[in-house]
Amino acid sequence: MSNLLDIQNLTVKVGDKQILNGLTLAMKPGEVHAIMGPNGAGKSTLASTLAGREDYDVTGGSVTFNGEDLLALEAHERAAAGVFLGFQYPVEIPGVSNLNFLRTALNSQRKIRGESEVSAAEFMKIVKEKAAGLKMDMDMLKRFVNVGFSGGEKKRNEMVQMAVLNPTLAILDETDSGLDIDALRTVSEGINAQRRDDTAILLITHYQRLLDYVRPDVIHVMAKGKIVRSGGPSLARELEERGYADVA
Amino acid sequence: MLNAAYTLYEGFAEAQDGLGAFRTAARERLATTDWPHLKTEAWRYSDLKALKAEAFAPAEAADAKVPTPLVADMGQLVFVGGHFRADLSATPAFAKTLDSTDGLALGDDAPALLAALFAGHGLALDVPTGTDGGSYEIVHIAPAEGRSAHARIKVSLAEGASLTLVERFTGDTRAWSNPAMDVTVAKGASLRHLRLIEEGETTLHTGRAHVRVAGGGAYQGFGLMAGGSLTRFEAHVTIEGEEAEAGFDGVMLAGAHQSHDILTHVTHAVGGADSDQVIRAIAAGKGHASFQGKVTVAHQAQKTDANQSFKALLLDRTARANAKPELEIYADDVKCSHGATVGELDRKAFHYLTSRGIDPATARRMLVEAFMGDALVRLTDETLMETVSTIIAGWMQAHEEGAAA
Repeated sequence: MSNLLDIQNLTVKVGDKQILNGLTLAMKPGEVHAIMGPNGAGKSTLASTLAGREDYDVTGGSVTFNGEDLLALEAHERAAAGVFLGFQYPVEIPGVSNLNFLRTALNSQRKIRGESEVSAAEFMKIVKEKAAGLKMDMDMLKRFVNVGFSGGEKKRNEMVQMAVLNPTLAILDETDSGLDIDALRTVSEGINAQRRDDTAILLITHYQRLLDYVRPDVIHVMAKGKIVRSGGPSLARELEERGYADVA
Repeated sequence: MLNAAYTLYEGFAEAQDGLGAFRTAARERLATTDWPHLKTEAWRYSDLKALKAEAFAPAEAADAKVPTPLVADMGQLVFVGGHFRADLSATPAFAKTLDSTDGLALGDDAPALLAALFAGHGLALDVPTGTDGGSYEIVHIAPAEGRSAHARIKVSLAEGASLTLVERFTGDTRAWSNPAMDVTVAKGASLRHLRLIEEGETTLHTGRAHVRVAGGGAYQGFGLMAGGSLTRFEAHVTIEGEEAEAGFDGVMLAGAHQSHDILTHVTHAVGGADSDQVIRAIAAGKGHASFQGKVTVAHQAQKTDANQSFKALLLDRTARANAKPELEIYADDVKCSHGATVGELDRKAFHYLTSRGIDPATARRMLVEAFMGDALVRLTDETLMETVSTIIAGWMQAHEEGAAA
């Protein structure tokens, strides 16, 4: 099977600082990969770069997604192509309701893909179903995007967005951080629901904890802007016991 | 000294409509009044060079095509070139020709004095006690190229009366609109007053309203500045009774070379009343938006609650915004707040929206609309909010096309 995501020798600068130093990573449809690593390894930079953040400067390498040059696309085109970034710090947007935001996003993606827009009624049906699955109160979705949400609610909101937008590749940047055990379980169920033969999920995490709920196929250790080691699920335990110092 | 071209026009002085003494007083004061310039504190953000240089003689009666009302079924009161036109209007019983100088403010700067000097064919709206006057759209159609309009409207709401006025300024000529409104809100009466400036990109506009609100009365003004090359509006509001509510909210949209300026002065002469002001400004291109907001709380006006919020969003590096909040408080037991910020579009929020698949133009529009939301919700009425939102959307689209070109 061909790769869904193929990152080759990616180098990225943020400002004057070189953050990614020739990162290579490939994922096939149906796979869940986890990237672990110490602070400052460049994990979030990788996630943001894939999502198309404009102040991140790709200085070398390539990213192929579904056979397409991902780096040639603008952020909104990447989303329409099926890439979703679960933000480590979801942004608060006063004045824009969650529902308006999500419906605009869904229809904007559909428009770019040449699909017809979903009606207000269809949209509400989808959102209600997905929100219920993530134990997200519909009243919260009527409120402004993430405004007044707790850390856990923001992360669950990210998962509602993922479920509604139904991406092919979900990159989840520390979606587990700041969650209590119940919220972690709910969020994990959301991630597992998105796990299918035709999708891939890239988890970025500091902790073994999430991986007890969402079993990855491959674990990568990242340090100093590149992947320094890859292995099966047992690698997570090894890291938990011995820390990154030995491995990275 | 005042431009000679303005003083040559004698037609208005001779009109037999009961405003003769008012015009004479204006004329006398004009003789010793200079044009404001950028060093005149109240005018530091509006450059009146063009008004001084170009002679905008007052417009004579002319015919014009009346635009369809913004809100379907809303009765229209039509002014053409500053003259009220009963023949084009759906005049209610409480409206009549302005024929008394009672309650008219002369003003003290040259544009205000000219508005007094050329006050002609004005309109008086006297809503009787306990009556709901309903909603009316006052359409001001700009005069011909090079002319000026000095529409004068007096609004008096008797005890317990209510009225909604949607004033709109239309037309697309290099002309000068210089309207004045004098408002009295009696006990328990309530006036909602919208001023929508949709004039063309070359029109000059200086307007003012003098408002007095009695106990338990409410005046809520809202200004939308979307059109005009130089647009200035002054709201002078005096609260004269307890439990009154007053305020002036607004949205300024300054694109290309537009300059918009809102000046408010709210005076709490009596305590126990509230005033609120929420103004939002968007400036793009070489646009310039300014807000000068002064709140005076008199010595005896205890328990006053006065709040003011101004925020400006600059869409381009070449755009400018100025804020000058002023609090003048003589009482000691009051709650007064003011806040002013000038910023750029939130890049993080923009990225969040686009990363979900929303195209950059739509994302920008969503954020700009959200930014103006605080001011728009102050309209409380859904229909009025929609009406204003439609004009804003039109400006945004024109601005985007202008920016893309």
